[in-house]
Amino acid sequence: MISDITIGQFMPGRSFIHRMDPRMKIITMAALIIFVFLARNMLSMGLMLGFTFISMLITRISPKMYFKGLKAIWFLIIFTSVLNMLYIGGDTVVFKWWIFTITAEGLWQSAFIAMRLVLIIIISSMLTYTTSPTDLTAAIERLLAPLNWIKIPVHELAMMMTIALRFIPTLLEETEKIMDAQKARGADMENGGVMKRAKALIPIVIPLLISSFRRAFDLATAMDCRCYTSGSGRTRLNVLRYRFRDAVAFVTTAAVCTGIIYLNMLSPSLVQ
Amino acid sequence: MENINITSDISQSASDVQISAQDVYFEYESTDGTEPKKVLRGVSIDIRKGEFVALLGHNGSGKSTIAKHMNAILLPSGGRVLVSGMDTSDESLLTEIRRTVGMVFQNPDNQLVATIVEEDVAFGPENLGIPSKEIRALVDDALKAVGMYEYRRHAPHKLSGGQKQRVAIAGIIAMRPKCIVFDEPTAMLDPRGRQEVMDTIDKLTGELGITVVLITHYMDEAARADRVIIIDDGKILTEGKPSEVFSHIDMLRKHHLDVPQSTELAQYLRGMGYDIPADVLTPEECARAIFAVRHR
Repeated sequence: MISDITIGQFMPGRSFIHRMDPRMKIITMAALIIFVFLARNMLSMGLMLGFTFISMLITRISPKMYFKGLKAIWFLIIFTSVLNMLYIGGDTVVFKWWIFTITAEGLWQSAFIAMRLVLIIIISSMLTYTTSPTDLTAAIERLLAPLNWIKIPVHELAMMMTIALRFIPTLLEETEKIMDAQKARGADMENGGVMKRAKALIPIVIPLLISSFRRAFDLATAMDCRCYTSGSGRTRLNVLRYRFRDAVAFVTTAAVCTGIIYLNMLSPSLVQ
Repeated sequence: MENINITSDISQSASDVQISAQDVYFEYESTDGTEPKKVLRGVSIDIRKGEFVALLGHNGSGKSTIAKHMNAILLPSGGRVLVSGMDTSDESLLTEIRRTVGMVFQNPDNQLVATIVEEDVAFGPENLGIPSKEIRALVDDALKAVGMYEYRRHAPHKLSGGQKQRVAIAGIIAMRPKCIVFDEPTAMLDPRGRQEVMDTIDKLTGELGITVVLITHYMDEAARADRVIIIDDGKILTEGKPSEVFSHIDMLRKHHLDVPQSTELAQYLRGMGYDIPADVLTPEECARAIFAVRHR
């Protein structure tokens, strides 16, 4: 069933990383992603790879799941690597054939690009795998709170995200129902060219839109009844709180980032 | 289930009244410039504290419209509505009014806001600015009251219709209202879900002492109330104890309303000459009456 799709693919668990404050997860993982780009030689990149690998083990989520996330971009990784391998010039020629020249510099460059892409996917998957959408929304709302100063309605945006997450399964279920209803009336959605199939979508999209508007009106009334006005003066059931483990994560991440800068200075850069 | 109290003889002092609709008129403005559509035409209802009142009427009778006046979702075009003495047209009292009178709607899906049950129940208290620790207690109590405590960490979309509706009720209870208005809460549920919701409503009126206004078109549900008010064409047609109201089968028929099946059967048997009381409401009462005839 399509309604079984989970958004962000949260995989519940009790690991150290699962139980971190979602704000700290976002902060540390954002820092790591930035430092993925700063690692410039094998020593610092090795540290990055090692730390990410250990983190993966800590989440107790099967490495298969992480590789699943990579599947979608295999082509992109290979494509950019090959392009880099061919276009980056250098002095130490390894291989030459017809108009193609491959240099050691080019090889390193493409290897680093591949490693960077893989690391970014793994780190961001780690965030969505270990954090529930609710926690993620709450954390984003809190982290972006300073934007209120420049009149960006952060709470309202977060509320919209929550409601969207809440209604995605409901609307998927409804789409299925409408599709079945239209099929029962003889609608053909599987055959024909692109135009024909696009046209076949109209009798599904229109009822879905209309019912969404009705849901929106209903929900707005229900929210009114429950005294919703806006962000100001609201309290929360679950208050986000930094704990000892978040301090540990912060210090460890900071140490790794410092380590990367230090290791960068020990040997020459392999990337431009 | 059979706590049909006789409340109509309680003396009616002003402090006893929870909601008072006084000669309420309401009309929708038409968009095409024709005559505005008059939905309510002088409705006066007093709902007493702790009372369980059922509002009956067929589609378009105005029963939902009067319900929406009870917590200022709609404001009267004429007359006024008082909630615990507060006039619903006074905007400064809005939060207090909605905190006093909660509302549960027909479609359980369209009133749940959050992706986790307990966070949804917490939505009302959060809006009221109640401190986190107290919210936790309110949420747990409310979920226990509707029997959904074990499901507190579940996602609403994985629950059955009846369960969703109970979560919606918990979301209202968590705001500790004095009165809850139910706008056809069982219309979209299967028989089992209906039973769950009606049992929960019984619990609210019984154990928790909450005033309940139930809008419905199921006669069996209305039969459980202390008082039944029948609305037809924007006016009150009749009101009284369920047994009194449902004994006027012909009058109800004329206004396209059913009576509970047990009452109908009892009346039919009376017509055939059996000695069965006219005010039979529930299947149990009906069975007992027929049993009594057989063994006379």
